[in-house]
Amino acid sequence: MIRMVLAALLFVSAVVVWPTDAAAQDSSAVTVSGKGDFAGLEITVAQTRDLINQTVRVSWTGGEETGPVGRFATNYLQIMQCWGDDPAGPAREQCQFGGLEAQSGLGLGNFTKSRQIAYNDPKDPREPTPIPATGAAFTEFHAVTGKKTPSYGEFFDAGTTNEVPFAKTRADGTGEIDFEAQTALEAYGLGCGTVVNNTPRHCWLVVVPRGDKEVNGRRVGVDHTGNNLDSSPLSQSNWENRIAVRLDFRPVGRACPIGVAERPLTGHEFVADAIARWQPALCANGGSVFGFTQVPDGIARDQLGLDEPGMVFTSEPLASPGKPTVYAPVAVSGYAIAFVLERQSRGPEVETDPKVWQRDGQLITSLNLTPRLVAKLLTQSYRDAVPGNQPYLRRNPRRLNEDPDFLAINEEFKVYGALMNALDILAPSADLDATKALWTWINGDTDARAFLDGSPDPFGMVVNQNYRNLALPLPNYPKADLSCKELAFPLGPDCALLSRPLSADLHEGGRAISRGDTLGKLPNGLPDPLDPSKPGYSRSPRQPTGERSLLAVVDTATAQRYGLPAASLRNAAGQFVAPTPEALGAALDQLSPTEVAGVKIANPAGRNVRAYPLPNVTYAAAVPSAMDKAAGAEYAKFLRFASGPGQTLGEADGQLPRGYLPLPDSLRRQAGEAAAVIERDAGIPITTPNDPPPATENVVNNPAPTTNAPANPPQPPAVPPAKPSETPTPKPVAALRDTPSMPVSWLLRHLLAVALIAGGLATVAGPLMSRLSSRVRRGPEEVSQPGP
Amino acid sequence: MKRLAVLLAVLLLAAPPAQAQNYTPISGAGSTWSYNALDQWRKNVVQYGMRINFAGTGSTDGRNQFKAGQVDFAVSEIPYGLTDAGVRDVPPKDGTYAYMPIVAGGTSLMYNLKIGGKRVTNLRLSGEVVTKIFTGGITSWADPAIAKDNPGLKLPDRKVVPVVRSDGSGTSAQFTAWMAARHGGIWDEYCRKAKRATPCGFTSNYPLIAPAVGQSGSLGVANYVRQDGSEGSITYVEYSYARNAGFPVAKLLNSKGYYVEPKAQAVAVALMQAKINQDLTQDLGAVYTNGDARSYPMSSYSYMILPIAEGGKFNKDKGRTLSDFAYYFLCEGQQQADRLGFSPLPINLVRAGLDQVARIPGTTRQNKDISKCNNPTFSADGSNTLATNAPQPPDCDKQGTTQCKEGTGGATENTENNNNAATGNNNTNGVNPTGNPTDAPADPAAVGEDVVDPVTGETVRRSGQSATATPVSVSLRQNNSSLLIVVITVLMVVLIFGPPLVSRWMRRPGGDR
Repeated sequence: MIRMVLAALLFVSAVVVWPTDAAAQDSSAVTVSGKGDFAGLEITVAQTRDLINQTVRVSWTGGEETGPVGRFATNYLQIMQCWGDDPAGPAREQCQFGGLEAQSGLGLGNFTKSRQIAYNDPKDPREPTPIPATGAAFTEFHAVTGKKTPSYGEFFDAGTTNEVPFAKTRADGTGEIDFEAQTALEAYGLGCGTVVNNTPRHCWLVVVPRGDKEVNGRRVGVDHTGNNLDSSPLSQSNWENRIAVRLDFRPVGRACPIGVAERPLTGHEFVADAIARWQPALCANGGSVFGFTQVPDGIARDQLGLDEPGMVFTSEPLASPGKPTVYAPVAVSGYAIAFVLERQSRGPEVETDPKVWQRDGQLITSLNLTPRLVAKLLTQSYRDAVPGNQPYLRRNPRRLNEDPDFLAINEEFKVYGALMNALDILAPSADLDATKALWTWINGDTDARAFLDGSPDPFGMVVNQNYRNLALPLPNYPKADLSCKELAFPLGPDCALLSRPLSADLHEGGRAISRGDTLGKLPNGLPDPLDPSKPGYSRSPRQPTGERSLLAVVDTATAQRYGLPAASLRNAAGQFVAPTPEALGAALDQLSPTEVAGVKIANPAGRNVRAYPLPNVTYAAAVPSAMDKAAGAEYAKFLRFASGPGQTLGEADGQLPRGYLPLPDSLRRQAGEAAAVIERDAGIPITTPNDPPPATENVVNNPAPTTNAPANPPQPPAVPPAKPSETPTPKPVAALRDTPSMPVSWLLRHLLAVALIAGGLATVAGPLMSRLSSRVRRGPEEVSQPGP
Repeated sequence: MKRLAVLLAVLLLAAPPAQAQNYTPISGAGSTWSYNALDQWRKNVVQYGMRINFAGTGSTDGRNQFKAGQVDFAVSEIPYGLTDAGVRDVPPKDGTYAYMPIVAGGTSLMYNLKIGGKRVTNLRLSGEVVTKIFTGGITSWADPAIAKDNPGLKLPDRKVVPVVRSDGSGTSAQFTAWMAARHGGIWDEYCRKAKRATPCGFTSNYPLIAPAVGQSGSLGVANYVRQDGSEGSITYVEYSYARNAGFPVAKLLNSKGYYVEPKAQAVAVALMQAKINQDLTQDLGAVYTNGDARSYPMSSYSYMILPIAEGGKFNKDKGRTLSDFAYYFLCEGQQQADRLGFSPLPINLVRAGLDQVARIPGTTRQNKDISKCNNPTFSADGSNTLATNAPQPPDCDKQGTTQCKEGTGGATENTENNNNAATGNNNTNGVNPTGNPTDAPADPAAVGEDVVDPVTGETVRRSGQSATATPVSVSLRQNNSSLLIVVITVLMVVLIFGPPLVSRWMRRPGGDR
């Protein structure tokens, strides 16, 4: 049965699945033109078929520049998803728009984010809906379920909607966004992908282009009352300019049966996206349901010592396990520094060549970083990374994009970094083994280490004094400078940890920078409404699209998920290498061995010129003696799926998300062998520490790489080696020494030394004394002639 | 292509139980105390076809958003209708909402403290000391009151920096409710200083008086305390945050005289004394004073506030999602609680919770076959397995002269005894043949500012320090041992080869003669 399912899956993937993402997007890309005032506008939707819940690139040419700089007053696109069975396209009542109405700090205009369509100013002559005496009239929302609600009401809200009320067109008339296509699971009012008469329901992507003319024909900045557009895209005159593109969805994903006991999976974030994809495929057709718990590597390893560890996922192995532990590689990805940096030249006033400033707002896609530059960004060493102009940073550049050390290897930023504000890297709070590798990469670089030790770089920049002589590697990112800018109540203080915080994890960081969000909070100038004795703080305003300049530490799967480019890091061979599949593959060839055979970790010192310095291999670890037979079989099945069909790149359930490198054959074999050992040894208790358990004897099909050292005796597993217990951190060992002011202890401590010194003196003194005494006996005349 | 569609259809039809459930997405907001648990459940139910959005913006914000109809559910540590700093938190309309416990946990005291450069991982504190620390009554770690709690530690004279939540927080509410109930006098004194009305009671908005430092969110306080520059700081935060940060938490003295860490079992034991009100809100008075030696006093539940009437944005379709999500986390999701740094709900609360789930409009959970609920605390006889199996604390955790060395929270390293007067103890099995149960109080008068030297009452100290002082040589290895070893080696060489050489040297002139 399982074989049949697998065969079916393979068959499906062979036929339906696309060799690469780009090819798939090409095959169903659609380009459409606008009409009327927008006839020159050409909009391309990169993928319109076989959609799931994913992002779709929407790009355009021939638009007018959104203005003015950094604000959304005129000439932008409004993009939304709609349902509608009419081949001509959807009605405005069928569109998911208006959910962001209450969001402040997002674009301009009284009704531009709203479903409100009838207003006195600007009055739309083509609007059939009358203006009620009571005030506002809204477009109803007609859900696919048949229900009609007066406004967006219950079907979507700010937390769920995918609408893009303001998409920016650059000075050269182009622009693009990543639009989130939603299935019925994300937007049940639209029902996209629900199977009706054996076909999944299609939906629509609708773009309403906006110029500088209001619905009443008046122009913004000329005779319109405001300095920006005010009307809703759903107002009849605006709606008539809409451009609709049909979106075809795959049938909505299968779901696991709820209420079944889950097999626990516990581990680090690197594997989270892959497991989320594998879960629905694993439970299909009565398969096991697995529940994933994301914890730091160290806690996952600690779990191996518990009575029922289940299966855990880490980068580094448990150095001295109490019981035989089996390791299997299940996912390869990279540890990356993702960035959102958009071209920001000095603008038309300064740049004489229009070709230069017309590209403002475009995403920069490549960035070179040396270990020293990353060290600067991670140690709050740029002047503006710490509030309050701290004197110890006064000789440092204010930001990355002003640092000559950076500009020397990133030419483009000399022009386009002019107005950027890149200060630091948004890093996760969670401890990760991979973070140790990143710090090791920095620590292994002579320039970076010298910088951390206090030597100025060639341009005179020095490390933030709070990080000087930082002991490395660390499993986390310290925020050692907690300085505040002291301001009179209620204006402050403005503090470093609050204004530039750590993210919870890699996903939060990646998502935040993709939205222009620093996650920081700044004083809002008013007392806290809940406690007027304290200053009030508000979320830092998001950087507007086109003016973003943020970096974050992420894994490559997270970078792909949020459409973020990743920096090229300088490897030990001196080459700048981005975490491409090729570079990750090259990095796999130079991994470092660990105490546990078959488990290898990133080797940032590897000298392969093509290798990315920070690959990550996720290992699944299990203790067969600590699980029953049934659990062993299910975990083995998990490993076989994860290292088999689960390694096919794609967007469907069960497939590997983009950003992971499919496991090479050698690692797949290793995982398969580990699965066999788990299945075979599960439920067989370890009898005595001295007898190697029968389960772990070297069987023909159990070669060394699949199990770790204790699993292959000689070492009796239950005897813990004398090594210090494994720990992910180089935190000081907590054995205490005495505080310096302890006279008693000092004496005791040096008692032995004193005794020995006394002994040594006695050694010398002994014979002398005897000589002396004999001299005394013999008389003074013999003194000059010692010796018998 | 058509054939393919047919094939797909066949594949899907062949597996009816795996067909999509078409759940409606729902949104919630609130507590950061329980965020680590809720966020994990949210991610796991994606495989069941559910899309749950949740923003950890703090309990106060969650309650306000729910009241304003902006979210489908809220998560909070405290109910509506309480009076905080003289202001009543007006509840939504009666009959539109209900409370449901979602997960238990311990509000832990995470700290950053070192002795001679080594992290302290086994700190113990009594309730009064904790209250004084967070109300400015204790300003130095060398305070005699702290020394009394820690016979095995000689703490440095370093400033105590209490780190509190600056935002509206259920964790603050839990923590201040405990202080108000147990050490009301000290707490009221602090409130008076902050110009709040007394008796102060609990508050979601911790009064901020220097040297207390305010930080936003659970992650904010945890990230502040964990920095090297924050040595001497201490905060109150849910256990999982300290564990994830790899930091220790203080063991808190319970009314049986044991210092206990807020592990899942200690929380489960403590909460057996929780009084559950008719509306399922909690009365924790008896938890604070639970007489079981295994209990952690500052244990509590986090609540979901859920709608029990349609209206606003909430409808039966959403109720269907919410009820299945709730069923998931009351049963299966509780399996993860311990791994995440929480404690699973006991059966009585799960049963009461499922009663609330049944009130959600559109609920799928009308029949309550609790035997199918895969909750780790359940047993055949209805008792809480977790609490029943909880081990007794080791004797070295008892108030008195001994102090366990084991690390706590996320800190795995032990802390060696650095106070010559006390005997360390590594016994974790609850059997300690040598532990001295004598509960001798420290003499504050005998404790100096720089030489903290608690009197133990044991004869061992009077008979000379030699016996207890021997571990010093062990700690030496960490530090300047290499120099000493060189010196010793040189001396040994001199001792061995010295006498013959010296005597030869002395003999030589004689030979020349």
